[in-house]
Amino acid sequence: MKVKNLYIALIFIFAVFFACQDPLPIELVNKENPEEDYDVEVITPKPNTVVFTGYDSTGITSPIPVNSSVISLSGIKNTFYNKNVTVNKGYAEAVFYDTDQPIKTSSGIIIGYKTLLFGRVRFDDDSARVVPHRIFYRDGNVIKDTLVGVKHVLFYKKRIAPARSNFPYGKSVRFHFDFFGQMPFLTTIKVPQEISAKLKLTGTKKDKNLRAELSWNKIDGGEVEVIIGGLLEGRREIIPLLRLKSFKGNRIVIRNSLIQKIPFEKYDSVVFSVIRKFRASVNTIRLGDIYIASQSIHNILINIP
Amino acid sequence: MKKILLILFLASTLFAQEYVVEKVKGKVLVQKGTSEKWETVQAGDKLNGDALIVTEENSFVRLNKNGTRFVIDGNSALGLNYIKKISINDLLLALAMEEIRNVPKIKKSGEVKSTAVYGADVTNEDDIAVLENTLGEKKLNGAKLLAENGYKESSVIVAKETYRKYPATKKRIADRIYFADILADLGLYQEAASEYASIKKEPMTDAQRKILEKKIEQVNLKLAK
Amino acid sequence: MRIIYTILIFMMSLTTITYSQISYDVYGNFIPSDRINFRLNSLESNPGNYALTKDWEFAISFNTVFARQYSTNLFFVSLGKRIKDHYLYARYTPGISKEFKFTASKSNIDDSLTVFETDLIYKEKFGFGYSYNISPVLTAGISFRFFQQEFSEEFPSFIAGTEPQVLIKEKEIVSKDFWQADFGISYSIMKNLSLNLSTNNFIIFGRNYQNVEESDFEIKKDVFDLRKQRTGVLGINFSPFEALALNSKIETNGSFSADLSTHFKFMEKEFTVGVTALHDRYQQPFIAGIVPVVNVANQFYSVTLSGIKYLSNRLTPRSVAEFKEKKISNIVNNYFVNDEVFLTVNFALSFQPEKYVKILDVEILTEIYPTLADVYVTKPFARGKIVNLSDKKITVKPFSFISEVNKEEVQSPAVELIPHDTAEVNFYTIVDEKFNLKRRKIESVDFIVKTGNGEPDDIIQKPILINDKNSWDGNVKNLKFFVERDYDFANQYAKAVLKNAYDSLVNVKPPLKNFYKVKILFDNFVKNMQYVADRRASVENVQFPSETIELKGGDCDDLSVSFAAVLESIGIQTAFVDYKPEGNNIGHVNLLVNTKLKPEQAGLITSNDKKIFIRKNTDGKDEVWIPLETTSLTNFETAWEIGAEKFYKTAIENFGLAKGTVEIIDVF
Repeated sequence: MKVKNLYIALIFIFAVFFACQDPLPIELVNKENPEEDYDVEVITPKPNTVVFTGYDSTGITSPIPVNSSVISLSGIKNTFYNKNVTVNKGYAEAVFYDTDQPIKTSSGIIIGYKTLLFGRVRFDDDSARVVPHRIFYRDGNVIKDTLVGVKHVLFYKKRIAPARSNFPYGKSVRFHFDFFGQMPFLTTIKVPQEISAKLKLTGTKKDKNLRAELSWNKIDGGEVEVIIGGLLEGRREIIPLLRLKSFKGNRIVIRNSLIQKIPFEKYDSVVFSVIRKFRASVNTIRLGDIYIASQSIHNILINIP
Repeated sequence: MKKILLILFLASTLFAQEYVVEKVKGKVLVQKGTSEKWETVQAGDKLNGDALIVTEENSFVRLNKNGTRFVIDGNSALGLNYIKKISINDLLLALAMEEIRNVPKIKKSGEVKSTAVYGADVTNEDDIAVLENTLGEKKLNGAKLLAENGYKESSVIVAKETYRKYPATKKRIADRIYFADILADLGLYQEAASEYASIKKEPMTDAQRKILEKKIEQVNLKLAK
Repeated sequence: MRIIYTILIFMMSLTTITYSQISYDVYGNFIPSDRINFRLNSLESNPGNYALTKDWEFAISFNTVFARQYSTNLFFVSLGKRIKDHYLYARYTPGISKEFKFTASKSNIDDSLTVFETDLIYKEKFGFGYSYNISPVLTAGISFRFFQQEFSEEFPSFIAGTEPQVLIKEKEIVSKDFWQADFGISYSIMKNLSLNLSTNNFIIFGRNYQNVEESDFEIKKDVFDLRKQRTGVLGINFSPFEALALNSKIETNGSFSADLSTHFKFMEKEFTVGVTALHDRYQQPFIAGIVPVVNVANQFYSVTLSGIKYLSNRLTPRSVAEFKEKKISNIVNNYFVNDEVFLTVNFALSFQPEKYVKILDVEILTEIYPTLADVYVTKPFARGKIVNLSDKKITVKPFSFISEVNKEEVQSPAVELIPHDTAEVNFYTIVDEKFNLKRRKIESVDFIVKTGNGEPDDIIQKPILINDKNSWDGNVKNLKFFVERDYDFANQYAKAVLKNAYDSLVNVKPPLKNFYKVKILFDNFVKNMQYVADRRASVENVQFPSETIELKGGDCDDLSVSFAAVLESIGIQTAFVDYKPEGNNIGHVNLLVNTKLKPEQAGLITSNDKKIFIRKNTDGKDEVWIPLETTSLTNFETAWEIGAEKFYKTAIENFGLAKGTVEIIDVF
């Protein structure tokens, strides 16, 4: 009898011991959801940094690296989702900074440099106008702006949709810099094909089931990125919030979790910007380091339900 | 006529056991059934089996039952119902009753609940009125008559009962041997042997004892076979 | 009452039937054999939910999963209890638990690669079963099982309101618990063929087991939920020969299983070996797996080793798409799990003492006549047949309890029995002295047998007729019980009468004292007395002496009993004369009274020797007895004369005594 009790006791100890083990999980293979497989970045504006610089309030560019010179060409389409209206425009821009003349905020952080004017800019055969260059930067919670100098800007003819601007999508553009009294500087800038994006938004913020499906025309060449931001109508500026990139295809799903928590009430609309761009950095003797960016941007403005 | 015959016939069947007293000599008394009364017997009387006839010395009575005659001599007593042929079986039954009638000796434990003590009245020997037991002797004589008339089985029964009721008769050795012999004659050796053995307990003369012993020997021989 | 703990280790149910895959049971398909009390294992396979456990049964099981890494767990613990024809079962199943994991998406968050995983945990936590044995061939039962589904999905989340704004990995967790209720019946067509029908997922209920929101989260939809397809299952168990069993289960969704098994005895142990093949609608290949089972048991333990071996490679992970398409219907057995092995040990615990002896039947031999109390002390009133169920020699103590008659259980003599022997046992009883039933009725008797001091081993109830106090079984030998009943009353009565007659007695000579007492008492007794035929023609009744005297009437039994009581109470010996019924004659009873006179003194009371009867007393001395016809209510002389006439004629002349048609029964 005692021996039996011992067996029983042993079994109980055994049981208790084993009861504490959890079985191992079984792996399943997921051919990943390519539509959701992309990089997500928060565009955290570093404090006291430049939000964007001197372009049209309805266009945006990526943060400018600290280069001596920046040349950019942007073809922009704005689609008003709710009204189903698209506006096209495009422009080219060149700015030359004097890295010896930094501009600082009140707290002494460098937010930019003063510009230089030392020649004429031509894109293909069109000359660029020289206009004042202001930069906007975040100082604490306040957006400030300051005049840093001049820039060269060329506006491609604006046309109302469905006609296009004659922004040179898919073409190569010749950039001329005519130095005062010197040989001109030439380079060719390749411009990406026009990007056209489609947005399908379902769900409501209240139901927490927002879902955005974004797709665009698939073209080889050029990297595509998507930026989600909020539009402040009054100030005509877009605050970029999230950057999505490294897409596997030409279609992505943006889940509720990403956009749910965007404080939409602060903004008048949400902007989904799909950008195809080429980028390059060129070292020149005469113009220093040049950052060249050419992009096709399609902005879709939508009021979040 | 037929009616009369019928009635007579019925009457005779009714009284099939009727004894008719043919002749009486001397003093003959009868006691009927369980009555205490003694009546004188006269010729022509009709008597049933329940009658007990007692004759005095030198008296006799002759009875007729359906043509069969029976004479009861003097100094005898006989119940008329005993004048019949009794089978050996019935005789054995009667002998068996000797034991059955008694108070059972062995009482099974648990059955006796009462602590009644019997015999609370102590009989004083001196107070006993010794009753006339001539009736016992007469009864034995009557029994002998039965034997002589061929009713041997019946005679033994009567004798046995007489011994019981009239204990003095138990000492009549000759009579006892007589009746024991009948048993032997009837072939009931075992019963004869026990009777002889019981006789032996009584006081007797040497001569009687000798005879008894011989009888015992004889019956034992018979038994041994 | 001492509670005796006996631990008997019994065999467990080698379940019998694996239900198919929806309700797969890990023990294969086996018919429980008669020799062993099986617990039809678990709720999956036990449609009728019935088991032949004696009392409590406890089971514990472990399993080992053969995945890339082996893991061993506690599979379940269960407890079953049988109460007569009801069976209750409860089990805790920590081992019915599977976790599936896959990567839903990957993202670079702030320059680091972050993996977002979806985690699916399926558990069956516990279950209950109840079943009822409707008849020896039919059982039915119902079961309730509780399932837990915990799904979690990770996702990148944009945290607003913080400066700087950040992106982090968040987890959405959804809990979907539900209960499953099913029922089943099991029917035995013949000894070696039985059918069972049962349901699966018959009723599903719970608060939140269905989440069909329009949601981004797949876990919130029913994409991963357990497939709760309602099906019916038909099972067949057939045993063509003693040692071979064939079983099959077919589900309405097309899944089925089939198996064969055999058993044999070896080295005092019972072995059962079998194998089941499973075909599942949702698994590949056609025979998805086989379940071999080996069971060994002796009277002390039972061990079952079983397992499931899948006939397809289960080690390479399957795709999520396939998982969504096929889903899983059964947590333990489905297309996505690996081979497993199970080890189970069963114990049957009995907190009831072992029953060693069983009453096969009890025959009531006689009605109870309460006044005849002593009769049942010497003669049994019932006889039982008992059997020794055990393997050892036992001493059985029989008890009986008749309500109304007994105040407590009456123990009758013990009987010894060798193993497996049957024997007869006599039941005696003692009638409570205070018994005073006025009307006869049928009562129930508890016949109890015990081998120990605790609980009885067996009890059987039988009806018995309890007569009222005046009932008499017709046996003159038993009249004495009525005589002794009112002893005190009779004594007082007699003394009172004799006291009044003191003057007449004082001068009577001692030998005649008894005789005269009888005479005086009788003459007084019959004053105002009336002869009354038996009150109830159907059953013999005897009044108690007090009743006869108070009622001033009675029949021959009552009067004889009454007068005998009067005489006996003052020490005068009496006996009943039983004239047995013969042909058309009904029986009759009257008295013989001992005058205590010697035969030679008979002449003092009568001149007619037909009126006396000589009997030897226990000391061997002859005494004169006189017959008295107690129904002759005129006077003593008449009664004596009539009694003597009847006695002499019937008992002596017609050799009634010798032939047995007349019997003398002494009162004491």
